[in-house]
Amino acid sequence: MRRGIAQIAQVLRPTLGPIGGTIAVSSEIRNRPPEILDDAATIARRIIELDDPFENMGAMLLRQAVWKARELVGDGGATTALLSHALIESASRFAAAGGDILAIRRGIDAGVACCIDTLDGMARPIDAPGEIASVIRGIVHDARIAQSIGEVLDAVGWDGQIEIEDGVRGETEFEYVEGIRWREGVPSPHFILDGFTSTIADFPKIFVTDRTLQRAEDIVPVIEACLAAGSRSLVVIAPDIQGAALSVLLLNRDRGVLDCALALRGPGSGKSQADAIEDLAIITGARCFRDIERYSAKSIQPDDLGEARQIWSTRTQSGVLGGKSGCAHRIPRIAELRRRIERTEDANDRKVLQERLGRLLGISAIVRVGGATKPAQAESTARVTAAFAAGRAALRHGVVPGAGLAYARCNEALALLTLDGDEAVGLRMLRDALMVPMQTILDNAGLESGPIINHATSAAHDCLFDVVRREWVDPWREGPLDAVSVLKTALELAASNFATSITIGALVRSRRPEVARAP
Amino acid sequence: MHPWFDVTRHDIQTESSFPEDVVALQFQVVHYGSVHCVVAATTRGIRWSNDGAQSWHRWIDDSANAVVESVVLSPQFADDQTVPAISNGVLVESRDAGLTWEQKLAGSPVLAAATARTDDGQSLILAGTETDGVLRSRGGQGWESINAGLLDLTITTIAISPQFERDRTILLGTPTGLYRSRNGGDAWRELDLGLGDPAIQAIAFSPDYARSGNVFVGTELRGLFASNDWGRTWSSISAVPASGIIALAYGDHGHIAVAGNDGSWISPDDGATWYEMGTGHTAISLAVLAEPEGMSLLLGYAQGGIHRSSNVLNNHRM
Repeated sequence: MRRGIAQIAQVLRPTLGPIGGTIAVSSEIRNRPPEILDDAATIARRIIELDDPFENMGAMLLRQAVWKARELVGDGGATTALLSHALIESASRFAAAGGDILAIRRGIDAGVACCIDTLDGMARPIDAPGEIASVIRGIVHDARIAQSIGEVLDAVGWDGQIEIEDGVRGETEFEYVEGIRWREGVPSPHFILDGFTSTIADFPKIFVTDRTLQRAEDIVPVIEACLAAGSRSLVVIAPDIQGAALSVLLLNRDRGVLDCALALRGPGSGKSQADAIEDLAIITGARCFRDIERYSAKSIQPDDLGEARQIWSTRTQSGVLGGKSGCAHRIPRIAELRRRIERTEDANDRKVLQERLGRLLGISAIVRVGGATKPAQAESTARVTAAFAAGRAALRHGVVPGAGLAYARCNEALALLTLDGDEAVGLRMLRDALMVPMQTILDNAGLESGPIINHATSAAHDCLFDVVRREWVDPWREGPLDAVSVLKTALELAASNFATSITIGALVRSRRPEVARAP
Repeated sequence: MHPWFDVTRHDIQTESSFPEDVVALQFQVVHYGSVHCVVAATTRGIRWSNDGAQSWHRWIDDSANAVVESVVLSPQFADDQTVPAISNGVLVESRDAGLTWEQKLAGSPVLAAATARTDDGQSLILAGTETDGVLRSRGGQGWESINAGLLDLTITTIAISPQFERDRTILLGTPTGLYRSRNGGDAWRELDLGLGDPAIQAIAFSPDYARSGNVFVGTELRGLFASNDWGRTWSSISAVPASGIIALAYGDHGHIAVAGNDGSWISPDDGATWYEMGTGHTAISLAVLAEPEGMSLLLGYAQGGIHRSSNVLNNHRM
């Protein structure tokens, strides 16, 4: 198992730091070029199985921890692997010499708790685009993209909606979406006139419901309310509109009763669609007619209809510009969504909530990742995705000096912690492990690490050697900085992985059945 | 010579003092070489002074009696003589220092405007409208709507960072909150003053905002607020007891002046200490002038006329 962990760590070691190397991963498909990767989590995920089944167990344990770091905070995979490996190597030697492995674990756990406090105490908040860029520059390896990501996160916030998709150009492009846009088009192609690709309703009245409209009685009172409100432009937002309801709406448009009639499907599906439709009612200042309340279409009044500067729709997308809601309605909803995003741990739930928040805030961003070739584009997409996750983490929880200096400061804090016996040995192992990231970053940059580490750790104030610029810098002024949650998560996952691995007493594997071979 | 400084021209009228029946709605101080030029948007045309608001000049033409709510001189004014202004809710622009005017925007009334120079040397004009949010023109090209992130499309005031070329920061006020963009207006984000939804009436950046992070915001009902960390956190300035802030002006060397609906105040140290002006009138426009003998304050009164206090801080410290 230890050998399996070491193999994974050795593969990921060159990727740590801004001048980390790349790893070539062969393709499963013949004649395909290998993938060139430098993201630890992606590389770990490409490692399916080691030949030796027991080594494979260790490798898969570490692989899971590395991917978990990516899922939680978007970065820190290589650091997790190196810390895990360092702890397990030294503890294994100690165990082989008859040491008390549970005492070692207690010592490491106490040290990790102290490190978490130290990192929290060291962390400073950031919010400027340049500060965010200095956190993620080492991930994307491109100053322009890092600055643009910083600006996007500054604009939409750590909890904002950002879509990352494949671009068609060589360069990565960033676009802000004004208002609201979602991936649902018109329910019938008849809403888009011949020769046009979209329909635009300027200053329409808007009817919002989470009930699918089917009968003529569902839509006639809505048209009457629209006309009573003095408008001949009507937009209906519902899960769907079908049958007689659809026919009546189109007929009134074709006969000139309405100048413009448009129906839109609400975003998403199921419960999330009902929530999203309710958000649209808030955005447009409309009353949301809920199916669960068994509302009567006859009760619809002109004041129940919302307004917007413009609503547009194509066959595949719809959007609202300048919804006429009052901030008094929107702001409590935004606050509620932010609380839910803060609390949720499910990545999919968080994504849905972020989409809703983006709609309520009237802003979201689209990043179209470019690349000269498909593999290059895939690699860039992975980097950009990781950079956004790390940037979000940095904005949310703050930053600490990068390049391994924050862990070195934790090492100094651990020197003041007094433990006895084998617990003290565990603490010593953790202190040694904490210096591994800084040493590896310097090694990967081709620098002699010893003198630089001595200088960095002996300086009274925070200064570190920037391996890109090849000079000493004040990290708080010039970077590099790390998201504190990335370092905390990497340390906690490494300690957890260590605890799991080192306390395993026996390894059992199922024997593969003999495969019958054809003669 | 720049036409604003050639006061011998026959088409310029010189007034020995600012007329008592004209209301100065807004002042802008621009530096032209060693001369400080004060420009006033008034209820009867644009006036300017090259001698510290002692005497005033104006063009004698059709625009002389038009109501001008705001003048926002181009950063390249000395070279291109471009003067954007708001007159009767319409954004107009002159490319000959104010002699002739051209309407630039139709549609929703324009309530606020601001100009800056971009990092590639182009001039940027922002117009804040009553119902359509913010519109932007770069390098004299067409106008584009830039409302991503705005929850309120009524723009009451716009302020651009003095170091816009580097930090691309813009603040704008709405009846329901303060918004900031740090990417030249591409996207906006609401800043939390800790007040709910305050109506913002005035914004003033420190001239060395990039270094100091000082910026002040005046609200309609909740008084004056200040940030010294580039807008990250805000605190209420209780030393200025006005509930409604009408105008703000940031001068050099940390001097900031405030006009409220019940008095005017000035601070010589970026808002640390304040002195009440006690003029007995309500001022609706302000300017802080740096002069050899000290700072002077220019107040435009709501009922018309202006008041000039020379060496204002020494007088008040006595």
